[in-house]
Amino acid sequence: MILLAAVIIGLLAGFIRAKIGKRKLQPVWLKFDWLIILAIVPQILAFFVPTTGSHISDTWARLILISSLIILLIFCWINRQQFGFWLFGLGLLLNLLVICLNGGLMPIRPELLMKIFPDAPIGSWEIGQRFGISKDIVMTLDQTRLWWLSDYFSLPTWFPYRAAFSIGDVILAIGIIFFLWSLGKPSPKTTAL
Amino acid sequence: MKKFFSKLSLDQIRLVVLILVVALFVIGASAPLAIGGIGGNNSLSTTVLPLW
Repeated sequence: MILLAAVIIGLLAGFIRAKIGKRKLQPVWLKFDWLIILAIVPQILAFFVPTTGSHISDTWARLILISSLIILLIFCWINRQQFGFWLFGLGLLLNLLVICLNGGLMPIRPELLMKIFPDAPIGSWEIGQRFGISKDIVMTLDQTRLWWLSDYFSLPTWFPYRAAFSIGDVILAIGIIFFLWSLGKPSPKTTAL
Repeated sequence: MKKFFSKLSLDQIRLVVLILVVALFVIGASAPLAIGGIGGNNSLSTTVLPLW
């Protein structure tokens, strides 16, 4: 929801910028965009589809997550000349770093898990275990390397949506807004005139 | 449907493809944990949602 909000905010900003300049949004071609499909399909099967995710072992889930993040990092590097991609890359790198240092999954502290998921049945999660079929593993702060890069933060309690997120996720969201905002820039032809 | 697509310009199609690519990238690159209720049951596997 938050990242979807970032996409909407970025698109709106891009549209407004283009509208003010009396031009259209300038879509760009991203190089090697098929790498996204290569990276995302295994992730969807492992983390987002319960029927397939429940059959994938934790070891495979860790391998899938790390390898797909590396593919996405390569995609960022290839497209680094695009506005906002440095932020994409940085957010991704921070997430990848904390995931690699903590065994291949994103750590989340038990207190935060109880806060955002108070109705979780007893025994549905344990410290040191992956949380459901998510990308997260429940770890105490003492156990977590670079805990400040993990899913440490949460939305305010008054917010109707409960979520945990990392600094990397925030940087990614900012990158999305900047990238989509940049689509409203003057085209090279207009600039030349 | 055919009429709708024939009215789209190349730039509009490129823009839609670009937004899809960015959305997929975000799904893959981020690791937030959110609580929702797809399917309306209490199974952990269906209540853990990504932030998209």
